[in-house]
Amino acid sequence: MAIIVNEKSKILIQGITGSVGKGFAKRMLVYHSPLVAGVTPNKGGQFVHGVPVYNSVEEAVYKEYADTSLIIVPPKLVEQAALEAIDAGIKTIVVYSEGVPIHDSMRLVQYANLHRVNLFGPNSAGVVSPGKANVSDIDDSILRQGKIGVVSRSGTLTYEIVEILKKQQIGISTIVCLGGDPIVGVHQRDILELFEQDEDTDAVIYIGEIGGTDEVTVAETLKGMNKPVFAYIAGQYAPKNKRMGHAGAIINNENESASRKRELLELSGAKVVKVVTELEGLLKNYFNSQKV
Amino acid sequence: MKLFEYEGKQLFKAYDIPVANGWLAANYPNDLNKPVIAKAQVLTGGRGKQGGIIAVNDIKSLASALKTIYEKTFNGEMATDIYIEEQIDFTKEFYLSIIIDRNLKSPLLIVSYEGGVNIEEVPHDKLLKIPINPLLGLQSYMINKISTLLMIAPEKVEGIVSNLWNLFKMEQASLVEINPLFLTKDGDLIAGDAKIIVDEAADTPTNVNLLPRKVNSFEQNISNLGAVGVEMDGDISIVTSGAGLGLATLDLVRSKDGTARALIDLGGHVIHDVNLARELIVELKKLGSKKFYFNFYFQVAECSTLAEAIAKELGGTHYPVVVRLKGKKEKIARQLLSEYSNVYVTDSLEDACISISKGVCENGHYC
Repeated sequence: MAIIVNEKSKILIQGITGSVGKGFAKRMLVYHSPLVAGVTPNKGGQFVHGVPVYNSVEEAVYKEYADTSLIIVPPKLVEQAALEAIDAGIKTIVVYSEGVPIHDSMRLVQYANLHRVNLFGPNSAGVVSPGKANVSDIDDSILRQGKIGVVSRSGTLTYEIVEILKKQQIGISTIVCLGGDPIVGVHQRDILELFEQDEDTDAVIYIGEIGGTDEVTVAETLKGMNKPVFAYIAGQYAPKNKRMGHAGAIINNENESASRKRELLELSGAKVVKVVTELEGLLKNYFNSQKV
Repeated sequence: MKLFEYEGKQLFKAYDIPVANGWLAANYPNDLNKPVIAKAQVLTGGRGKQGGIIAVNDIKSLASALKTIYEKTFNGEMATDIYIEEQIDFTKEFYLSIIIDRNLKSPLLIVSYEGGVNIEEVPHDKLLKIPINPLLGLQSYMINKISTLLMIAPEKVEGIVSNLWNLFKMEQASLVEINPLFLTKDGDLIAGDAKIIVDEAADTPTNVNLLPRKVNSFEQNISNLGAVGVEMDGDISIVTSGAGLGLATLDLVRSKDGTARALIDLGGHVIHDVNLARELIVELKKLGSKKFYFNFYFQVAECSTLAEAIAKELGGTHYPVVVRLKGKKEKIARQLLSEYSNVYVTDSLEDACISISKGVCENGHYC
C-alpha cells in the first residue's frame, strides 16, 4: 500500500495560483498524481491547468473530497493556511514553505497533534509514493516504484538517495521528508513504525543530521524493528554552535553531534555509513545477499 | 537574533518586569554617587567569570572599572558598551527562563531555587521544568508550583512570570532568561540579568534601542543575498543547492582530505537570479577561497542560471572549479561551462568530491 499517500489520496494545493504552486500542479497532472483541487482566497472559480480553484479549503473538501494538502504560501501565511486545512478535516498536510516563524510552527504542530493530523514540515520537501501519488518536489521521472522506504529531514539530500537507488535500479515504496526546521510535525519514529508495518516496504533508509536529539527516540524504535535499516547522519565535520543551513542543524552539545547519533543508531542495529556515497555499496551487498 | 543585556532590559521594562535603574556608560549621571555594578555588553556567555562584571561603591572607582572592562576580551569579543546599574540589596538569587524545547515542540518554563549559577549544576529537587502548551498559555497551577518551590506568595510570582510569558510570546523569542532573579528584603522580585534571543524569521523587536553589532561581514553579506553561509578555515568554497546536501558534501570533501573555506546553502532565491549568484561568487572570492566546488541538484530551479553565473565569474580564471550538476536544463548548463579548462564538470558526487580535494590531471583540467 505504501505509506501516508497513495493512488486513493485526494490532493489539494493551497497556493496553487502562485508560480511554484502552478509548477507543482502541472507536474502532478503529467505524472497522474491524484490532484483534485487548489485553494487561493479570492481566486475561487479559476482553473490552473484545468484544476478547479476554490476560495476555502472547506469548499475543496466539500466539492472534491480533498484529504491531503500541500501548502505553498508565503511563510507568514502558513499558520493560517494550515489551521484552515486542519479545521476543514484534512488529515495529511505537507508544509513546503521555508522560513516559517518558530512560534507559528509550535502552535500549528500542537494543533495538528490534537486533531491527529499528519503534518510534515514546515520546510519539508514532501512525501511521495512513486507511481501512486507525489506530494513532494522530487521529479517523478527519476523515481521508480519498489520496496525501499526513505525517511529524511532534508529534501536535497534525499535527491542523492534517489540517485543512488536509481543507479542500482532499486525501487521505492515511499519517501518521507520531515523538514529541516527545529520544530516540525511528524517524528521519524512514527514513519519507521509505519514502514515496519507496511507490506510494500522491505527495508528502510534513514537520513538524519546534526542538531536535536531525535535519534535517541529513533534508536529505541529501531530496536523493535525487524526490517533492515540503513542510515547516514549528515554533518560529521560541521563546526559547533553554527547554524548549518537548516535552522535545525546546529550542534548545541555533544549529544547532538553526528558521531554520537551514529553510535546510538549502530547500537540499535542499524547499518550506518560515514559518508552518503557509501550507501551504494551497502545496498548492493544487501540486495545481492537477498537474491541468494 | 541575540540581544545585549541593555536591549533585553528595555524589553523587560516594556513588559513590566522589574529591573534596577541603569545607564549606558556615556549616559551615567555624574552627580550620582551610589554603589553600582558595571557590566560588559557582550553577546557571548560567561562574562562574569571572565571579569566582565565589576561592583563599585562610589563614582571614583567607576572610571577604573570601566577602563578594566574595555581592555578585556570575552571569548574573543570586546565589550560593545558597558551597562551600569544600581546595586540591588538582595537576600536570595533564583533563576527563571522560558526556552523552546525541540522534543516537546513547545515552550518550557524553567525555574530554579538556586540562581546566579550555571543552571546545569543545580540539583533536580531545586528545579522545576514546566511545558507550556502554546495554544493554552500559562496556567495558574503553574504559578502555584513555582510559588511552592521558591517559598514566595503566588501573587508575587504571578506578576513576573506572566509578564515574562507575554514577552516571550509577543516578541516571538526562542529564549528569555533571568539569571539571577533577585529576591529583595521587602520580598520583591527584580531581574538581575536579561538574556533574550528572538526568532530571525519573525519581525525584529520594535521600540528597542539597539546597540551596534560587530557581525561576521561575510556571513551577513551572504545572508543579505538570501542564502546561508558559514565561514570555515580551509581552502575550498563549497556551494550547494540545499542544507542537507551541503552537510553531506562537506562530509565527503573532508573524508577525501579536502578542507572547506566556506559552506553555502543557496536557498530558494539566489538560484533564480544570475546577478545574485554572481554577487555570491564575488563574496567567496573576497573571502580568499582557493578552489570552488559547486554541487547542485535542482528539481524546481534551472541548472543553467547558476552555470551562467559560474561561467561569467570563474570561467577562464586561475581558480580550480569543480561543478557537479543535475536536474532541470542540465545539458545547457554543461554546454555553458564546457569551454573553460579550469572548470571540471561531472554528474557524479564521488568523482566531484575526489576531484576538488585531490585535483584532476586529465583532459586539460587543473592539477
